[in-house]
Amino acid sequence: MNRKSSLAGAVLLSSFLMASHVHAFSIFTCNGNPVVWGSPFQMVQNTLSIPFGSTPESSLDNAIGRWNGVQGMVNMVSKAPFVTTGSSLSIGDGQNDVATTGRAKLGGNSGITFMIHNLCVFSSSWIEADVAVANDLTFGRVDEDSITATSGRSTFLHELGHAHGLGHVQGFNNMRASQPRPLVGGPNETIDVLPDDARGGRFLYPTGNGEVNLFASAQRRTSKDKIVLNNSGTITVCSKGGDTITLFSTAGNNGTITATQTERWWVSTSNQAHNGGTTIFQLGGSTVPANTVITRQVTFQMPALPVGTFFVFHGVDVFHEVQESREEDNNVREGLTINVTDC
Amino acid sequence: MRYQQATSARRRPQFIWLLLTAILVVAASTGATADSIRAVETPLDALASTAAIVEGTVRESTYTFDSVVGPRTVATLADASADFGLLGDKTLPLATLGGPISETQELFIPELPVLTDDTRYLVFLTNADWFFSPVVENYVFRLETDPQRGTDVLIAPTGRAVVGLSADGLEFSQEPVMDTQIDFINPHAKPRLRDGAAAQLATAMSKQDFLDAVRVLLKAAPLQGEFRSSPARDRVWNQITAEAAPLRDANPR
Repeated sequence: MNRKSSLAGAVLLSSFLMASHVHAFSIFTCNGNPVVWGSPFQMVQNTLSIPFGSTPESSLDNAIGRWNGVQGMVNMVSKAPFVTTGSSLSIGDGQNDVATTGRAKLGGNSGITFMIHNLCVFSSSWIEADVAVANDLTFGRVDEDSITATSGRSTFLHELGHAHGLGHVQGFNNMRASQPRPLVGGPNETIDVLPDDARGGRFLYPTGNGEVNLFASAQRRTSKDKIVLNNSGTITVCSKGGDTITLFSTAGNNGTITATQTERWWVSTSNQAHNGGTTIFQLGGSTVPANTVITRQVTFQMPALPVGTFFVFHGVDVFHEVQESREEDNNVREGLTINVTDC
Repeated sequence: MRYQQATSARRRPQFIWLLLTAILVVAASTGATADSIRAVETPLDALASTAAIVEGTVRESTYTFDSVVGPRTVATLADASADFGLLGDKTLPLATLGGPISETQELFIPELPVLTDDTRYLVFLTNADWFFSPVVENYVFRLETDPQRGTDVLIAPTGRAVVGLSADGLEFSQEPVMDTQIDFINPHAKPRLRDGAAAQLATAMSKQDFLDAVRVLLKAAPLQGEFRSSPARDRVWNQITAEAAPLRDANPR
């Protein structure tokens, strides 16, 4: 394991921890006992509102896949082998429907999950979950370096969190009450179960297995509980190098095992340089505790660079020192561009 | 006890609905904004959906059931008064969708705010023809006295104290000041403040400062419409009408 900090054309001036978030997930209880499903549950897709092959369907599929992707948690949710095709769905019929509908029919909410449980006496269990998501949301992939309050993909993941029995909790997580919610980095899926969400799922439906999964994110949670971009806009530096820049950088650990790894920051004229690019700094021996998200503020001097506009990337476990359940979320494009001018 | 409440309440539906419809809050002469409920992303959005901002104390919660509007948890706001808009009565029932649906089952909707007994609140009442909750989004704040200043401060449903309000949004304390976990054996029990809450409450925005900030925002988004104390009866509680997304999503699968 590489525990040495190394320099690649730049000098680290300072690095300090802005925030380390470990939050308590929220569940529902009966007489102190967690309310859970007695067995895995199936969601019945309404193909009138979520047609086969549509982006709403890919959002739903992603949400199911992400929850089932949490290692150490029983795979609780799946799609039923049959669908509904009509416009009217029933609550209280023992069938777990999932559909989209007009926002006005959801009281202005982006999504609502109708949960039915056995009346609480000594204990209780969930017996039905019907999910309705506003159809004016955007269901496609969300760019890693963006902030959005209208993601249907995020809403499906959030509502399926409720369907599992999780409540709202404010953190760097998907069970936050409202969007925007944080994203993971990478060129592929950016809506994923985050550390506190995963911890809640493992608590309710444990398998006893562990997981290692680091990720980088272009977002951070502020001290006043807002989700914002780590970095945004454009800064101008001299091509000869030596200018000082300060970046926020977020690294998370979705797993159950504390991981020590090497982080890297790099620039590229390509916005898809999730690997490669010109290294501007590298930090070894960086530890991210299990189920934790860390945001650091890093200040360093820029190396000499050719004239041009550069995108900024941040990566965790860049030397693959840690075997992870998901590797594609390790590198993130930050929301900042650097304009290098001749000087 | 809870089930007895539900049963007894269901035997007297006419009384409850007479009570609900008898209480009307009028904030302006324009009608409710039926079928125009929109997303609330900012405080200006919230104010545009608000008929009145009121304070009061929930003494107790009861359950009702109606075949159209379904199970309702009715938290009655007593000693109510309006900070903005008009209030027609000092007693105001807030009937949120959720509660017993049979002798053995209960409906619960995590997105909707839960009001607890013996708790003072500041509530944004919707001007929409509402069905799920009479509260605008999650704009319902528990009022607590900051022991250091002796002033009222606000706690959001997320359990965090409100530390700022502007057109950009609400700002909250870094850590929660109360637990928000619900136990269905007594879902309306007032959550205790967390250890260390006093330090966070000391940094919270005072209620007066909050109302002053609201007053500023109201210049851009004045209250409009009227509050209707009973849910709309244009739909049935246990039916969802599925509607496809418009064909505008260009994002790749």
